[in-house]
Amino acid sequence: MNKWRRRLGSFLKWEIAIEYKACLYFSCIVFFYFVWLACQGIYSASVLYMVEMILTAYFIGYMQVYVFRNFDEAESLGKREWTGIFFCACVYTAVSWGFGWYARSVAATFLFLAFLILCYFCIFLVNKIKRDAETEMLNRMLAEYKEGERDE
Amino acid sequence: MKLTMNRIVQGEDEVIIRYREMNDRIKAIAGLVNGSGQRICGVMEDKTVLLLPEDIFYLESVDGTTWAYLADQVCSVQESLGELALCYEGRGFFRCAKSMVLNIYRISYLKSEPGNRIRATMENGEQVMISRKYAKRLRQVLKGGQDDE
Repeated sequence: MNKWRRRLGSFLKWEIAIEYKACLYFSCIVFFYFVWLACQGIYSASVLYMVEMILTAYFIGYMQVYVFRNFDEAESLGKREWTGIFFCACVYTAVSWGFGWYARSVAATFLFLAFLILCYFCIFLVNKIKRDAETEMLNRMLAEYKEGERDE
Repeated sequence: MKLTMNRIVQGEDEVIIRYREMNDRIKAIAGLVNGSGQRICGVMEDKTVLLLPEDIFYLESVDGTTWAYLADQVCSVQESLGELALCYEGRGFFRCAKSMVLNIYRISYLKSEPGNRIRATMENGEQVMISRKYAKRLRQVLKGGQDDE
């Protein structure tokens, strides 16, 4: 029973991580899409495109976690991480072209690819900065814990 | 040395030491009260040794045997991991995995890792990865809070 509970816990942990990633990257994509529409003077968005975007974000979230070992939370960006970034950005771009999110505009599609690579890099940086801040806090707490014992 | 003892009916047991100068005798009494005089009995190369808990970097249970890792030595101890973790909790012993107990006072550096895990680097350079579940408890312990279990 405990084994199954552990497996379920592990599965849910990754599912939640993928959900979080899907929402995060969906918000990035939808932002680009809204800006692109606004630049065209269009002030209404296609719900169908947004459904496609979130489903794509889920699918690529699985790839990020299970195939590319969570590269946006990596300690540093090596060859494998950059491969993951380019591959996932290219898959998003191919899907955007296939579904015609940007009316198959070559310029918009290339801009979208660059934007995605930038998003991946920024999210990697944010995760790294967050962990560095937590490392600093942990070591401060460790020092205080040790100090506390000396004071007693 | 004058000894005064008062029986109380309420509150926590308390020992107050009044001294003019700190000396070995006073230190020994203080050690006895806070338990620092306690030693753990271990076996190293067929010899029985008495270990000070603060000399232990971490404890690990392997195939039912509890091993105590010192700076550069290893010895087996009779007590189980759970017993030692419970007994020396107040002296920095922390259960960091199902089969491992760390001495927090022997950690030199903590690093936050992806997935809410923590990597602990001990004073002897060894590294221990603390899983998400135990990392949460470590944060609570370091904050001075109680375990939630």
